[in-house]
Amino acid sequence: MKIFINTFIIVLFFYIGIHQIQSQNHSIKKDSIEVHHVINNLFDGIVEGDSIKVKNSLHENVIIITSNKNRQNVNQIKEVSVVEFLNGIIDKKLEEWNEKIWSITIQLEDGFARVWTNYSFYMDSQLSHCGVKSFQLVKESNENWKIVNFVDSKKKNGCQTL
Amino acid sequence: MNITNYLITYFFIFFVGFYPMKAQNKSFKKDSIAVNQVINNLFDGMREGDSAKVNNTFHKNVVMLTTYKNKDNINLLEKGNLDKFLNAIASPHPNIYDEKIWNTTIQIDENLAQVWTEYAFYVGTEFSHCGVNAFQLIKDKNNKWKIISLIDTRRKDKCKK
Repeated sequence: MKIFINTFIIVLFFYIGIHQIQSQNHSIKKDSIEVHHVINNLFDGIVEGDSIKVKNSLHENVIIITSNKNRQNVNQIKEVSVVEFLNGIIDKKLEEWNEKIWSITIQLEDGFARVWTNYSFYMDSQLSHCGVKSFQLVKESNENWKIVNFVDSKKKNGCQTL
Repeated sequence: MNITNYLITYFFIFFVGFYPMKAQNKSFKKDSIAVNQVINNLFDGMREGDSAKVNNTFHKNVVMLTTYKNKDNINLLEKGNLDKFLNAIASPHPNIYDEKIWNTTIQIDENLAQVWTEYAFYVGTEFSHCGVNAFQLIKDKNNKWKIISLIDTRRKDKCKK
């Protein structure tokens, strides 16, 4: 009888343990999918010229920074305001934009996520530039994941074409 | 004779092909070391109460944010400020600010890098809180890596000590 109870308790703990690990994995999986979705929406919005879709992915206080090299090969960075960024999308003229992203990594921790992705930007099917983008997202209560800041690097040479 | 020619050609192609790869790896390694050094300088500076050392690791327009849960388990986002942070380090405090970091990952492309690290913060030997630090660094016009953004998460439980 004692052995039976002991076995029962061990099995019970085992299941409780497994259940907790499973539910943790489940929430990580759910968060990664949601984060991925926000990033996809952003890129879709950009190529579609849909500034509202883009804005929905962004936190109201988002900070956007681009870094590149000027003609003299000197590193420069520029802070782009949200308005400027959205206007760039609204002002999109007839040209066709396409942005391809690959090698995406997502790191998650307690309401905070960060994404690192390679990208190539095409204008009218011509490769324009490439680099990486680094996004940081937060999930405030009762809100969706929102991008609080992103930084990208930009180069014209040595781009991988897909 | 023919064989020698082939060999020379192949050796040549082989080495020319590998040279840029090696050069690229070398620059990646050099950049990772430099980025790691900036992060170490920051935490050393905090321990030493050396605000100039800490200031030197940041870009002047650095973005500082903290995410945490309040008592009602609601996620909050708080904006930090470099001057306040530097003041806290510079002002006399009896116990050292000792932030231990581990599981550091670094990603680099050209002049952009991001670092992710777990941390536990101690005031003297007293444990305070833990979480992750997420850094973004850029190379400034003098080719020095500077922290352009720092976001940290903060919690008191489920901490490795």
